[in-house]
Amino acid sequence: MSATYRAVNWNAHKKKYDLIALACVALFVAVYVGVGSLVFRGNGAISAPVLAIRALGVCAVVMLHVVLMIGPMARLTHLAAPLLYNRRHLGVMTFVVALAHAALATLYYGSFGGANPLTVVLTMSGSGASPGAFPFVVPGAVALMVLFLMAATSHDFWLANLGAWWWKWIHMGVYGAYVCIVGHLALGVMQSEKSVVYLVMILVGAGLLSGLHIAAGVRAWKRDARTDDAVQGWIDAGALDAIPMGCAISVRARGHAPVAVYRHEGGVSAIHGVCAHQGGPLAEGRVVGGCVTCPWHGYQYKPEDGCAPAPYDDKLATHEVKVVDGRVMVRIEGDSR
Amino acid sequence: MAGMDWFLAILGGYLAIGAVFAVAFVTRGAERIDANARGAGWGFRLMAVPGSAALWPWLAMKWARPRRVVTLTPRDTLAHRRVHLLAWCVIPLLVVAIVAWGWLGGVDPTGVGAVSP
Repeated sequence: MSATYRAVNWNAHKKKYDLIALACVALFVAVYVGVGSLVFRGNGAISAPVLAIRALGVCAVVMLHVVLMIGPMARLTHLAAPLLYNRRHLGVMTFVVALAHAALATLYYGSFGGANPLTVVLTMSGSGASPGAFPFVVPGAVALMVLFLMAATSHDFWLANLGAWWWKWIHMGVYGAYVCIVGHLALGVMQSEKSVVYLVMILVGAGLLSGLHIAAGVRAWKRDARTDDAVQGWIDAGALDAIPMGCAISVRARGHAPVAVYRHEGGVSAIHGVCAHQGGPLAEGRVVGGCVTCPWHGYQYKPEDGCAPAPYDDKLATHEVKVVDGRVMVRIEGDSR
Repeated sequence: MAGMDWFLAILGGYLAIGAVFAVAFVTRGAERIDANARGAGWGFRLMAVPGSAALWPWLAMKWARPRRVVTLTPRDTLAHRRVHLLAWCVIPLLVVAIVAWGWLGGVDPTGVGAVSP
């Protein structure tokens, strides 16, 4: 990419998305605190700060589930693509909500006595050999640190300088954060309140996430495993009619990177199938405004020459393509032309 | 508690050095290692502060010996996708094990194993 960095590359869609997400967070916390103060009254009353701590904590957990669902959903259906384009903003918001939960909890539970509040909170636990004896705040703090690292390195500056490969490995730490949060809940609130509601919510959440990820992963695995033999450098990508207008199919010759074969108003084009931004699968994208658009973050390339529109200067390799008896043939000789 | 105090002191020291480094890095260093940071506004520079404070040893090395980044043909993310799939085959097992321990592992006799109203 060659364009001066800006703090946030907002456009009308992203602003709308962020406003809706912020409104949802505010509404969730307000409803949780409001309903909680109505339901828990009398002897079982929960104080307002504790309700706020819980509301922010539950909100962060729900947001993390949504963030984790967006990726596989976008691989299973194009309808989730707009969510994927804006996932980074939702991830940063999740960190901010989790940080508010942690800050309030530290101030509320850790400010008794003269000790360091962070030390008090991080060592909070019961006694004996029960799960309640585990310092349950520690996994929560580890998860918060992972979310911080992800939010802090979410800008494209970090992606460009760490490199897509390392950046993606760092950001896969979110899976570890998710497991830590399950530990934080199971060894924390589930110990003081043996409510079946927590049990069901955690298990349903985990089932939904793993089901979506496995379904999307198996689909991608099958597609990635398929390779086609080239005959004199030409590979049969399939029937032209099988490619919907504005969409693509992926072909991969043995020993070569995948190629995205797009059908668009100008005909058929074949370009390198891996986005220069984060390595997104271009064959799963669409033609938007005359450009091939990556399904992950909306990076664009002109189908005829693989060049990104100005002011960007990325260029992906293109491949010669021809249609013979209604079948699309792609020439694959190396990765560039 | 002493162990936790030591850990927090070391972490605090690391981040304090990082905060000082970050101020210098976002004002001078970022554009040395990345041409796209030249002329960038204060919004971008402020956003780069937390990451710079967290990753300061690595950034300090990059700043000391800036290397031109060579853009290559982007690599396929096959390995990442397979790790995603593998991870989500293992994560449900971990979740069930943790939740089962929390649910069936007995009750804390002191009752202070978790936050209470």
